[in-house]
Amino acid sequence: MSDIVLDASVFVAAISPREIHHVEARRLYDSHPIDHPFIVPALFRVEVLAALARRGEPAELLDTVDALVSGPRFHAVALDDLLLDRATAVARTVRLRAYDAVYVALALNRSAALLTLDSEILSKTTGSFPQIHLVASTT
Amino acid sequence: MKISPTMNLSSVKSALSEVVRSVRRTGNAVVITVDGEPAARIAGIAAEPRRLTAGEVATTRALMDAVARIPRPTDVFDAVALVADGRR
Repeated sequence: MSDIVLDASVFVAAISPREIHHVEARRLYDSHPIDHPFIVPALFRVEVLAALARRGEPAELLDTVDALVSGPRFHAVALDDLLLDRATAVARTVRLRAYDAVYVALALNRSAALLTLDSEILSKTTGSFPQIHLVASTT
Repeated sequence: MKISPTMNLSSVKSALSEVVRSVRRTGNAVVITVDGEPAARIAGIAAEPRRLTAGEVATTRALMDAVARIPRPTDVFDAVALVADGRR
């Protein structure tokens, strides 16, 4: 089983039935064996909780999701020099937003697939980094 | 010797094995001071991803089930836009 880098938006969609990509996101999320951790940047937890909090989700949900994303299913990688250098190169090359570049850099550094629903990441990355394997929505 | 979050260089030199074992055991880094100023840090190497144990899988499933049971706002939204907005 190869490593999978999980974009925060896919996770938020996968746990949210009222999200417009929910069915596809949940299918993609569940396609990764549950005993294999997703690879995420350390800021993944912040992004997920911030997004849900901005939506006005109840505290019980935030607490439960925090426990989930802080657990072993999500292998958080620190934003060290290696990752930041790669992210900087990605951002310069394809003009992605900083956080998007971190996800792409993490996938490149780990030779991992990137699971995302973000069309901008998909369109900008596909041509410039053909070595990256993108797992995206088919709808 | 007591391992502290901040130690001077001579203390670390005389207890390096204990310091490294402490960092490995606790995950807490130790800052080394020289002339009273922070100069370096001994930090653990991040663990590589590993398969979840049966207990961890059960806990993960239980948390996902718990998420599904919690009443939530009913408005339709776009997570890609929501997360992208947080990245601006």
